[in-house]
Amino acid sequence: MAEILICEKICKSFSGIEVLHDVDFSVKEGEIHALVGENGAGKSTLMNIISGVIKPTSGKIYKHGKEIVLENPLDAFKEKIGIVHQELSIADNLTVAENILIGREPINKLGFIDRKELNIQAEECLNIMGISIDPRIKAGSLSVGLQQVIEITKVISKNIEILILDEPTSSLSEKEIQNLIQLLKRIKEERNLSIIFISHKLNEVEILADRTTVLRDGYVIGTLKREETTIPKVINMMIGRDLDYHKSMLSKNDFGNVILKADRLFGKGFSDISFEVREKEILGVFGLIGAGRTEMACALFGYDKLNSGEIMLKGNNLVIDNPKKAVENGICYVTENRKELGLFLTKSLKYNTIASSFEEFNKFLGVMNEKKADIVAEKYVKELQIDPPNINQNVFEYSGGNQQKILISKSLAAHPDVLIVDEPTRGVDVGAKEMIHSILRELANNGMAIIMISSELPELLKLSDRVMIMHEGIQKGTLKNDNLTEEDVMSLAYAEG
Amino acid sequence: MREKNKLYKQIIENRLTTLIIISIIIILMLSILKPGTFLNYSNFSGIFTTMSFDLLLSCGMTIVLIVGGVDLSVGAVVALASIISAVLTKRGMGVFFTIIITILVGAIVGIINGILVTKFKLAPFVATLGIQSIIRGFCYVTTSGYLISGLSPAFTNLSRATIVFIPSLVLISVILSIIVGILLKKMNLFKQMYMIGTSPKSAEMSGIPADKLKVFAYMLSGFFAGLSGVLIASRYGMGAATYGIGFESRAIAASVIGGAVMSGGEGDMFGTMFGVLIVAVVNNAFIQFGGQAEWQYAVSGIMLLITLYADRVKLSAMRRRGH
Ligand SMILES: Nc1ncnc2c1ncn2[C@@H]1O[C@H](COP(=O)(O)OP(=O)(O)OP(=O)(O)O)[C@@H](O)[C@H]1O
Ligand SMILES: [Mg+2]
Repeated sequence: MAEILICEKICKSFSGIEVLHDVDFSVKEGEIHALVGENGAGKSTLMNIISGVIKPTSGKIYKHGKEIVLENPLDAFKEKIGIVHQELSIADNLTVAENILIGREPINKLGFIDRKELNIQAEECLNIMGISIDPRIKAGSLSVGLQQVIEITKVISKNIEILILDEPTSSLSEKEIQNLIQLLKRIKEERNLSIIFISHKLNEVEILADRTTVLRDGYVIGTLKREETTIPKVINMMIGRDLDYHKSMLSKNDFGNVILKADRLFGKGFSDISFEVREKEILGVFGLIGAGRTEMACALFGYDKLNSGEIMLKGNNLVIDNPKKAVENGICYVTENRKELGLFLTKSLKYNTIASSFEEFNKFLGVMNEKKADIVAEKYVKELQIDPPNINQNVFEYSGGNQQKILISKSLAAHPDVLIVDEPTRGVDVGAKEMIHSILRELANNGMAIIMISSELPELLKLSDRVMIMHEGIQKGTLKNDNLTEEDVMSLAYAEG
Repeated sequence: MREKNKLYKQIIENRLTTLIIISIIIILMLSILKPGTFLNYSNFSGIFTTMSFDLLLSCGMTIVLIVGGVDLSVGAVVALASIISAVLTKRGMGVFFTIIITILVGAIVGIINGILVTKFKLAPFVATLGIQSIIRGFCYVTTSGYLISGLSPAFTNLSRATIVFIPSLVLISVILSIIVGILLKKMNLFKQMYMIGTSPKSAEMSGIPADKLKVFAYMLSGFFAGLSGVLIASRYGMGAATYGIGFESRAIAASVIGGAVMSGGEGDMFGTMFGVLIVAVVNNAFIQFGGQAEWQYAVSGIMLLITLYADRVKLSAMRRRGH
């Protein structure tokens, strides 16, 4: 196979700090090339360079052996390079067809958009991808998984030769991931497409990748062929040591008192949910996307409306009608939607860290105690190994995984008794994932009650003392984690009635 | 890392220096081209007077912009406050209580704005525009278009007095702006307002009392508009339904020139102070060259549009960096 794209000695600096060092990277025709590395290793930055979003400080890019210069994303599209970014850019209020053909809508004789033609063309694009969605429905009404597919359809339909996918599976359910993997394999075969695939889920990499390149701290550590690629080997290259990531982290403690008890909660997207969680306990909540877990958590937290049901905190009845009240009563929620509901992207790490605990930083007469805030922010930077460790840097300048750590610090800084975490390791690398897991376990051991919502079964089974299973808004049951297997949980999730 | 920090500081400082340089250039230009009409006492006193009112309104406007809102009702509140304070004074009420009551009315209008925006979820533009029309209409009806003049010297002296050669009006507005500037930088409460403006949903989810603080921001805006109304009545010796027309556009323009953005989360009162200066001298330049004072309404509109456009450019640059 010929090499379609070669990057030679790519360097990139942000305000004087080099984050990519002499990176050599190449892609062959019709291969799926996985790019892996820790949070902040420089994966997205390298992809942004290849897709013309940012310019390298130095280095050359060749396509079909000819040097190309990419000034902007348009140049990259002219070179038939397309990217689906880490964060989705679907317009919720446009239809599927409008999203796919945005910027190149067919025009009728009068100069207006030809809706009929638009929908026909969009349908063709979708057919090529092998999916049947009505192109006339609003994109916002689709699941995240389908939105992801729409975004990929949009890029592929521009007749590209190289497709870049930056963490396409981080917000997909297991089933959607399988579908996407099949889809990628198929279009690769059918169209001889080259795909660059970034993911922190190494099992996907193992299944999918023809070759795998590992980045660490902006250096290329090496490129593995398919037959050489094993998960432990990749991890070792990524973080420079071995990691026993399967090791179970169940509590050996006796649990304490019941801290939070929810009784027959009803709301939009879920009904009749009851559970309790005790001191020192991690209650896992499993379900496929659409199971109503996030809706339930948001209602419990006072962000959405709870139609009926009772919440008892440490034995006292509590009406939580806004998040402030929840936080005041020691309940914190780490959202799965960190960009919109969690972080303040144009504010510093420091202010993001203290956003749930502003009250604790009063000096006198309401003057802010900046020193104390600095200390707290520094503390979490250290504890969660946030990189770069600069509390005054704006959050949008952090890599995705580090943003997730900042989000978690925000809740921890409020010292909750009950911590609800929703997909806590989304977009986080294996090493950091391990770290977040052990932090959660340690918090529980120190007395916190934790509710962990996750679509990743291995993670749930590793950490949860009990697992509650939800399906389409209904509680299917709760299993105690005595050597619980994935099959046990799945069979209950799909059980009738 | 340290380097990055410095760069950020430089940009902030740069904006202030840029603003100062722009103001100096315009002032020099006017001094050279129109030495007779620009560099004279009555012109300067006129500039300082309008600047004082603009400054007071901009204090409130900057705060409202920080929480991600906007207050179009302030000009009308100025008129309302001028009428109320004139009427109260004529009825024999003391200066102190007149001020207190009028400012309270301003603050209440602000609270109503805030409630419309938070509880009734109206867009700030719509809510405050509605209140603006209602109040302006109310002013015309109650005064039947007449001016309320003949106010007591005790009341008019309030803004005509000078303290060590500085007109009290200028003194009051500058001191209040500096106080607001410092509070914005130091107070926990205002830090939370910046967070609300940056991402209202994240703020709510973090447990920041977003609605309460928004209402408070609008209340402060109403407060400053009320104060400004009292002072305008005192300065010109009468209350009138026509005061304050177009003041809101100047306050918005000044705040945005000074560093606030329409989408919220940014704003700096010290920047705004120079914004006010720039708006005032540009206005004056038009009057100097165009000859008619009525130009000011058109000019503030034009400046507002230009700054809002610059605001959009600034924002999309920020977004691009964000990717
Ligand atoms: N706009 C920016 N300004 C300053 N630094 C940046 C900017 N974008 C990225 N960086 C820095 O560059 C480094 C690489 O970031 P990048 O986003 O490429 O990491 P990544 O490998 O994609 O990580 P993740 O898996 O967490 O998404 C990080 O240290 C990050 O903080
Ligand atoms: Mg990334």
